[in-house]
Amino acid sequence: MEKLVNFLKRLPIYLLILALVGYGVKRFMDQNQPPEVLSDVIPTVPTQVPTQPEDPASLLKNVVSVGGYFDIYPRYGDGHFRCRIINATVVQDASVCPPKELFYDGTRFVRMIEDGGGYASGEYEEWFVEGGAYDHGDRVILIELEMTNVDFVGRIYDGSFTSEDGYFKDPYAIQPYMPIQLADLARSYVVQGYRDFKEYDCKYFSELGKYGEDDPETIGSEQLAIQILPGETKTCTLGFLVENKDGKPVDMSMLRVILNADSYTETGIFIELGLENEEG
Amino acid sequence: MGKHIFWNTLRVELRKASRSKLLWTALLLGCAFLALDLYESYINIQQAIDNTQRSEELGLGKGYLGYSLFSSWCGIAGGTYGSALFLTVWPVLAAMAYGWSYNDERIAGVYDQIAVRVGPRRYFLAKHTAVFVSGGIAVMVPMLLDLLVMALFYPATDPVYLRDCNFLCALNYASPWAFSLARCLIYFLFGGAAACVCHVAGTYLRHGVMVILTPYAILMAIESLTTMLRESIDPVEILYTLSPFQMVRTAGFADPGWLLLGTLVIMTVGSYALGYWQVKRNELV
Repeated sequence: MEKLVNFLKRLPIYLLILALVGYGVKRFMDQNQPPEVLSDVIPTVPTQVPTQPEDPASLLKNVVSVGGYFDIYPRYGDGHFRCRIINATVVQDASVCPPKELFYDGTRFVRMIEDGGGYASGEYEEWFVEGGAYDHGDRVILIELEMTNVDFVGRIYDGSFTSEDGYFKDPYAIQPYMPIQLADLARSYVVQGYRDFKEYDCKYFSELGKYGEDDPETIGSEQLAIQILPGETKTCTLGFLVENKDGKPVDMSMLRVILNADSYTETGIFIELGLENEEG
Repeated sequence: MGKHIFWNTLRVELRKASRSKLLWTALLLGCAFLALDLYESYINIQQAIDNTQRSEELGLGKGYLGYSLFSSWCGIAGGTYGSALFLTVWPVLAAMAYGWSYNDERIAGVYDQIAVRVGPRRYFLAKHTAVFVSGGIAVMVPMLLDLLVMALFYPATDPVYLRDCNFLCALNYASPWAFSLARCLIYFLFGGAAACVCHVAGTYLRHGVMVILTPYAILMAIESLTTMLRESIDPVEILYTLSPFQMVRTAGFADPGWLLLGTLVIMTVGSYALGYWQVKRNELV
């Protein structure tokens, strides 16, 4: 009898504990899907090659190639950059999802992957949210980099974010590339980078990064990191908006591209490309 | 002499904790949940590799956007079912390790035997310390294993960003490994603190299961109140969180160092004070 009385005395507390545990379980069930469903969420690459616009030439204007290839050799190591600067015109809105051939440089189409607003793992559907930054008719400069044997960190900035020594003031923008450890995954995992805007903290973008906004005030800086294995060659194309579709030029007088061929040490192995637009 | 007695008592308590079947059960359960997390992560990264290879074949470029070990392991992301499960039940695992022992020994009368020899204060402090350490281990070890095993197949690329208001956020970029290990340590501290919350109930709860569920129930009550409070203020604005469930995950809320430390101190010292108060209140020797 005494045991029963003791139990009944404690019963409200027991019930309260069990209710809170039950609430936690229900909350977990509501917020999480079983593992089988997760695999369906991961996006897959379209199985068909995107088709080109029927008459791309009719969409072009002012396509001028401004330079052939030129070579750059880093101060250290045996790496090699091959660069080409191209004027091109946007032939398709970047908001088209998935983006197809975005630029045309007179000889071929170049596809650029948008990073959009997504920054967390799996948020692929948000890649193209900000794709409107490039519109059909915009003029851009493309910097095509062919890189061999180099561990590459490229930085593009407009000067306003930099300190006197050329580094970003934002410490998060100068993070060295993190090499893969504990696992032999040499075949892949080469593409990560940062992108900084004044209004955002830090966002990833992909190998084919883009830079430039219609409003010069929003121009920030971005960085990409690519690891290239010995003997391997990769190509990366960077795009810079120089004139929007309404003919409004974007001030690029401060724009510089810095190639750092040694991302591990980050010790001033910079190659600078001075770029000026037609106005500058 | 007094110190000597305390250290001996602590050594005994730690030995008892290490031989507790429930500690090993908690470790096994934690590892099982995180094995599920590893399996799901492996599937995810394999699909990413397949997609990338297909993408390359189709000339669509390539990229592993967002796939980073330092952003995907259980201690940060909680994006998989397994990790979400672990991050939900960690207070139970912590309490299961050795949190039940004071209540158990008190009811069984073992407490009287020990307390009469070493004194109730030394006994309770040694018990509290052993509960803290075992609870921390029960939570941290699976976490650490998850990080290390995931590193075997997941790309250790740059982590995703954290807000400035997240504890050690700068370290996340400068040294992701150090940051990840620091997060493991934080899980250890929170696991230990959660296990100590078992002592809040003293001997009032007569059932070991209820004692083990007590920290979870208390933390869930705080979580619910925090959520209600946040929704009533501004669901969009970044706010400090008072919920340990949210603090340990660095997800979405501000968790500066002072808040983490303050919460840990309140949980550990508060539960010790409440527990010891009840020890004295129910003094039998």
